[in-house]
Amino acid sequence: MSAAAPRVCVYGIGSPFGPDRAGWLAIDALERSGLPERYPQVEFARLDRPGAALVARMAGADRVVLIDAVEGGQSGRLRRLSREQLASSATTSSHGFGVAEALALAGALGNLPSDVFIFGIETGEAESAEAFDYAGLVSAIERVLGT
Amino acid sequence: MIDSREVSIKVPVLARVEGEGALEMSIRNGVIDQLRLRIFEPPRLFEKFLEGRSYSDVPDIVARICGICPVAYQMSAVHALEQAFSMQPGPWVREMRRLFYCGEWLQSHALHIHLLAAPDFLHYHSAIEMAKEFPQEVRRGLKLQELGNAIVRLLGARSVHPIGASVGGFVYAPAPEQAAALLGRLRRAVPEAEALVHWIAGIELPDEPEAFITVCLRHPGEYPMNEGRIVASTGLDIDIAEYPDYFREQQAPHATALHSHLYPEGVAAGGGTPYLVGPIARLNHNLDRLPAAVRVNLDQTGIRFPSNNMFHSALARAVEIHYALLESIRILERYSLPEVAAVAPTPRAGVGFGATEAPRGLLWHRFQLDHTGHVQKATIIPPTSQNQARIEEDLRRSLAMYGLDRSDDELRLHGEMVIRNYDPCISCSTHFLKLRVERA
Repeated sequence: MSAAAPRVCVYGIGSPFGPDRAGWLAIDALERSGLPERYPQVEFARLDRPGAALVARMAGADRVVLIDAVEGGQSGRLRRLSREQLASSATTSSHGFGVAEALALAGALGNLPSDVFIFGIETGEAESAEAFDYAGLVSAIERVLGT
Repeated sequence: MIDSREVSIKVPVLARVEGEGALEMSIRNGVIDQLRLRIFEPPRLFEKFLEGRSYSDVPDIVARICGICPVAYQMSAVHALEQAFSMQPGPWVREMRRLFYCGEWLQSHALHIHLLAAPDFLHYHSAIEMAKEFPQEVRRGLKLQELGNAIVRLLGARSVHPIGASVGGFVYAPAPEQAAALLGRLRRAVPEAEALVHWIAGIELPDEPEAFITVCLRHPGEYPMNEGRIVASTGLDIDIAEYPDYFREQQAPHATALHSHLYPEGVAAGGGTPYLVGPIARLNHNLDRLPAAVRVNLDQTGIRFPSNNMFHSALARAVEIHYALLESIRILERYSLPEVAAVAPTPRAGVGFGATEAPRGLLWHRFQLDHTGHVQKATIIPPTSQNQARIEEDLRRSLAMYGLDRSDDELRLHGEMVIRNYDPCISCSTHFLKLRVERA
């Protein structure tokens, strides 16, 4: 059914708290750059701590881009992460069910999109992600969508 | 000679993990001498945060106590505040609050069954491992959880820490088209909820009957969520305002969570005892409040309630998922836009009580307010702290039965399973349970 147009999703993952907003602010920056207009078939969304619900959200997508804040590092620095690098804590905790666990669960269910791109935004010591420079992220996502 | 071994499971630094737990046990001559579940639980601070805040701030603040059951905290709070203001928000609000609660039960129960309980019972280290062998069951679980999320989003605008509830009602009424679309999805999921009950009932569980006291709400006409009297298997039957006369929290030196005990003849008479709140307690006391479809489906499994096997908790949760789904459908079938989604409160000085059934059990609130509706004193008694003494009692019994000569690792895994079965709000931390065993 969906053979014609591949389904592509760009999700900014976060919460209203401090630098954990980085994923949402990244979507704001993508919107300001006009990407959603240029790629109207791509779904851009801010997700609020989706936990295991990310599995259902990704189901059926061919390419998924996930943007999430990463603890530590240098404030605002962008990092392209592999699934393996997302060191899964391999727990079955419900509170701590994060992106790594959702990807592992989707993989176990055979529901993982064929292309998964993960961008981490390091938060360092920052108390907010408002002042981060999202220009690098915008061009990185542009490259992903352009290929 | 004291053979003291310390096994420490590494606790990774994780964002969004709430609380921490540890189990300490000393075994003397093959018998448990001391057993302490240490819970470091933050809700108590919220009572102080609330002092001096306006009643209108309360629903959003208490929602932050738990990321899994924010609706429960909001519901107990708004009921308590409305009682203090002597107001009744009317039938539309009452029904929507019930729907809101159904959403949370679906979310929370589906998560616990599929990510925590089932992997334990089917002997997998994690839900991810289990999903490879049981993909259909896990997909079904995630779907039921998502339906719960969708209900909470309908009324609360988002599924984590929703913001729709207010004292007097809701800040908005969902559009009838949205309600109708959700109704269709819920109807299609009914066979899956029925199948879930049978799947859980078919899992071979430890058969460990034991005597325990159960406590929950009971309502004259419905399965309890937002309203009712507090009943116990001891025969206790009291108004929610009388809770402090029969229940008392004590500070246990080894945990920041308080231990609750029930005093069947009143606190003054002494003789406090641990008790259980949560799905088994609700189901044991309220079987006659379930619709026939839920009872028949449960009867077909061959497992009978009331149950005195704690390991039937997951089955009780599955039954409540089935119930919450049918109840949501019943409410949404009659959905219409109200004239107003909330009644404006008129603050006044006074005291109000709220007791509702959180997914994990009875959640009791008391607020004392001044004439402008600012909180002077707040008391919040969450289900996890009420169950804590019961969990310790169960651990003692279950570990002794399991065999204390087992390795520390085996004891830790068994202890985790016993604890997780209660779905404590510290599920996450108890998975990284630190076990310290002293053997003498």
